[in-house]
Amino acid sequence: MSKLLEVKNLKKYFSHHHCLVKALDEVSLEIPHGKTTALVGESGCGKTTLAKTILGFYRAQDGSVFLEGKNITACRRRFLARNIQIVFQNPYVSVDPRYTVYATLYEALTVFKKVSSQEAKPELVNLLAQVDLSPEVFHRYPHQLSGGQLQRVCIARSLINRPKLIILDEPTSALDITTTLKILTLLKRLQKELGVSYLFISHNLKLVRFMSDYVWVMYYGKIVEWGSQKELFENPRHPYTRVLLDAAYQRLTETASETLETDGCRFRARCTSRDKRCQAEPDWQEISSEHFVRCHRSGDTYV
Amino acid sequence: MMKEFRKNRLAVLCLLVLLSLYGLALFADFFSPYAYDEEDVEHLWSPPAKIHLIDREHNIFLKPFIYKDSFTIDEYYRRIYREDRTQAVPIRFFVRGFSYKLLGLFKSDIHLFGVADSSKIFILGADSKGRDLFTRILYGARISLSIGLIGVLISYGIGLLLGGIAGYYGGRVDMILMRLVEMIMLVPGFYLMLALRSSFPPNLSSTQVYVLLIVILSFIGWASIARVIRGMALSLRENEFVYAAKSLGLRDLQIIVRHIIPHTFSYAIVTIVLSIPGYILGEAALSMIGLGIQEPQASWGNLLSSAMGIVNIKLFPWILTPGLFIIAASMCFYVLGETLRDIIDPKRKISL
Amino acid sequence: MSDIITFKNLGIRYRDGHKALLALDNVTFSVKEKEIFGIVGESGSGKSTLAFALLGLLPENAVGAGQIFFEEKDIFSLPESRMREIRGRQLGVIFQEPASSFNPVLSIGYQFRELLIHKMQVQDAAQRREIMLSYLKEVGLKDPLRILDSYPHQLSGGQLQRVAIAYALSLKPKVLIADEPTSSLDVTVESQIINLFSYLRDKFNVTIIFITHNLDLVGVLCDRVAVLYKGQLREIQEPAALFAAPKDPYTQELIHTFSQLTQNE
Repeated sequence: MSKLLEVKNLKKYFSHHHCLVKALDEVSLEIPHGKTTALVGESGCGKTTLAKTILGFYRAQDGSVFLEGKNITACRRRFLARNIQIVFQNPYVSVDPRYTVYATLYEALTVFKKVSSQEAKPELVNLLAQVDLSPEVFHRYPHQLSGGQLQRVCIARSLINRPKLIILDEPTSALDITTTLKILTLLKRLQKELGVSYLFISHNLKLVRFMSDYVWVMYYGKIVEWGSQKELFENPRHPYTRVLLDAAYQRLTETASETLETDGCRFRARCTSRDKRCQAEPDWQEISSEHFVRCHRSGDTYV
Repeated sequence: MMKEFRKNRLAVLCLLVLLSLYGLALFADFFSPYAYDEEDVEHLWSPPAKIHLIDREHNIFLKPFIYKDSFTIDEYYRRIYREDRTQAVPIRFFVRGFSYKLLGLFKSDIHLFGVADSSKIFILGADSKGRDLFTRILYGARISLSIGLIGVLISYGIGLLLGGIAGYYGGRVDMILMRLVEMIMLVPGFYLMLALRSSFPPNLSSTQVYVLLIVILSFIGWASIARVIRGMALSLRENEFVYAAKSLGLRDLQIIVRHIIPHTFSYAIVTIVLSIPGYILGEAALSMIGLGIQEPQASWGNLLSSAMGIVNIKLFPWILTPGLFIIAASMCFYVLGETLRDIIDPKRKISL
Repeated sequence: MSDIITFKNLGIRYRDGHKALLALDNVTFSVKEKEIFGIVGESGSGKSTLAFALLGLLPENAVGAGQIFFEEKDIFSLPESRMREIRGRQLGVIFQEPASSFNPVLSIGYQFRELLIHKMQVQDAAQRREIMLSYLKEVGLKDPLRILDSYPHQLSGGQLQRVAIAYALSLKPKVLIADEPTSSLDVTVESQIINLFSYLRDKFNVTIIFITHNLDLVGVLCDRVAVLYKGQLREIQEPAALFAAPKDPYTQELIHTFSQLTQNE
């Protein structure tokens, strides 16, 4: 697989009430060209921090991000903007409520292009057509649109400068199920048409299964398992991945405790099959060429 | 929003009062019967004229008139003015008087009212040099009311930008700007005003003094505005639309100007209105103690300087009327500001 | 089992200037005693309006018609003063955002105590403490002593929602109304809370009205499900029947969409 984006040993620590929170603890991740890579985990596991660090909103303490082999960790915002865009969870807060749809899109267009508002019109009409919206919405304000419509506007805005990667940060969590399906189908179609890659951040494994080609599972600042969608869903090896899957498919899960370990295997407090080895930090174990897991017991067989 | 505003009778009244004050100031040449510096030794400290409709013989007139007055000097060498009931002087409207340029554009010599040249009318009395107080209040309003407006706009411009920058960037920029703000807010305002004024030469032309007053008042005023805007910017910058703007590649200043500052406008209007009285009072204070607008130029503040002695107030109480104008204008701005604040209730607001 | 709550010809409109927005259109159905009754619908379907109407919490611009019977009494027309006695004591409620049900500056224990003193008249401190600990244990909180001393911001969303459930249950309500109680929680926590509802129904003999947009949850948890769409009641079924053979066209579409998302292509 050819790599579009590569994250290497990214570290981001926050100090919160005098204690250190390791939001990203040596996170490494790869995103291939033209595919959808999912990043899953519970809230607070560092998914969004990773997205914001890739986009340069946060400075990482250590580690680097490569875009097609070029180190972009300290790159200028305008360079990143040409290549990486983001779609947020709640469309109502991710566009300025004082701007009409037209003004929002026009502003995004003029970042790299000098065009008058009139000249931009045909291009923006095309853009809206790509996300199945008619030009009628141009002069509406965000609060006059439904969540689905507005999310389409956000997707259109992210496409405007033809980025190579779009980060989808829980793009459908605020939407209804029927709208969710429509938006996800739209995103898939756009990927086919434009060849854009996605980093799909979600905690809903059903949607992840529907959307992605590769899945990375994150637990409190650490990647614990990654693999192709098929392998990961059919043969989950990390106990945390199994907990997430069970929850998504409404199977009762038993967790030992909710406390968090700061060394060794982070998950061991919640793990029902922990043993002595878990005191030490687990290393990557290869299950197949497209499936790796960080668990001491990955060799064990599960029922 | 307009509907809610119109429902509040008091606020509407205040708005009308303010509009008429500004109107009077703007067209002061037309509304005032005399020039602001026209002195008259015959009428030093002349009391407010009594306007009559009924004469001695109980005839009712449709047009108001005054009696010509004359004075005698008492044993303390004070002038005692007395109406001469035999000589009625009708008040005439739209009379010709000194010529002026309306709004600096149209030449004219028509005045709203006046009396025949043989007599004079002082509806609010005259001052120590026999100048019409009413005229001087109108001309003073030009200075006092415009200083408030211009001053607050300048302070707001500075406060908005620096507050926006401090809040948006946070960190060291914020730290430096906010310490500066605290330094200004720490020193008592009046003391700071005096200190700033005294750091400039005393003998400036009236225009220079006017500009200087605005500069001084703005210099003090921006700090508190910047601090509040900074707080709002601090929370606004965590909004996803700001992150979205960043990821689109917009420059910081573009984001601050387009996506941060406009969200503070509803708050801004309230603060602007509520802080105008501070500027009016600031000007009045400086001018009253003789550090602001100089004679013969009039401002509400320096008109009050003759009311600083208790003897003058006792003998010529009408010299306090500029104070009433200051109180009225300030109160109207406060009522207006409070009403606007109630309407733009921050609790009812969006995802700020 | 007898009906505990009956909605009869319930219609609710929201006035908005000169327009009136139809939120519920002539809705009639009953909820049986000790049932877990699901109400499914997308945003704008009127499911939250239904909950607010039942609790007497409709906003001022709402105009209602019809009746809501709770144990054979029409409570829809009751004045607020009477409703206040019923709400909480008879009809417990759990909202979507757990943090919003708590006062952020008071400890969990303090708020719980206040509740027991004022709503349940438990004056004895030792007895109060026992009640509080037992309910916190019932809702699956492992360290109830620590929880009592904590402030809302020190607890996770899942823990807070459990505490909210404990508060609601401690008033011994006959009906528990849960309005999207898991929508703001992680999936792992969500499945635990769902299981908790099943357990609590059997333990406390409480009727549960479970409002959600998530068909998954309805399938696992509910005895019967009502589907709402644009203010209209489209269908009432047992979940298995609903998934297997939806009758109404809207439900069919909903189930179809749902299965598309859940089954891999």
